[in-house]
Amino acid sequence: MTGGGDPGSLSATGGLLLRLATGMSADARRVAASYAALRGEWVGRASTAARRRGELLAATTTRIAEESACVGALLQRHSTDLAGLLEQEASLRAQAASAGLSVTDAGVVLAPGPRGLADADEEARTEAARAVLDTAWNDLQDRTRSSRAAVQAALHASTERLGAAAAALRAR
Amino acid sequence: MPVHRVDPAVLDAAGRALGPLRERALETEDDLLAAPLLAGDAELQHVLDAWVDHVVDALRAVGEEVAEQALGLRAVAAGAAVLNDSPTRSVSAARPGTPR
Repeated sequence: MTGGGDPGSLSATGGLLLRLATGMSADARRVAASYAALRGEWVGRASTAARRRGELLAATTTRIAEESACVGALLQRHSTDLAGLLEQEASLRAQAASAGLSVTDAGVVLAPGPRGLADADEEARTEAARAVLDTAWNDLQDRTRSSRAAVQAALHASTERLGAAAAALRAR
Repeated sequence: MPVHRVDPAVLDAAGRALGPLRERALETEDDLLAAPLLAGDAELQHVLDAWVDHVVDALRAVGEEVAEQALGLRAVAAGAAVLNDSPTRSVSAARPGTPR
């Protein structure tokens, strides 16, 4: 099962991150330019130390902007994917229910409960429908897992980069 | 140690450039922590929450650094203003092109 989720919340947060990325990129450029302007106006060791701190601040800000842009776009893509997967899940469940079947963790099975007498042809039709839906269900599960795994891998990598950037800024 | 003259206005300008970054870092931290983010899968949710924690922490680091740098620039600007106002300037290096 896809497990649900809220594509709208992912899309909204993705949008928030993309706006953050744009704003922080501009902030980083502004900070870098203002510290660069100090070079000709202020000389000495204190100036050099201050400018290096300013450069590191601008670089860290740029890193946060890049990670936010990357994850913002990722969340928006995943939101679209998840919406499609949830729609397909709902469709498969409806098809299964109309065929007297139900979707479980084990796949598509005969729906529980009493059922009337069925001839061999009817049973064969039900089994054929079950097999088709079961294959579609397994395919949906594979695509859901694959989509999640890609998002998780990208988030892990981004988390590491953000952690390193914050640690470097605090360690200066 | 030689004392170097610097126009306090230049330092003020650098300090002012930090303002929007600090505000954005603070605002975004709140927005991110308040944003509903429902992944629909426990493992993915955990990874997503960890990413949000890290970006918020990075924004805090930026906010802390901005505050420290702004304070440092203000202190240097105040010192430079006093130095520039002094009738007996002990200056070893003037700004290039600045008439003395």
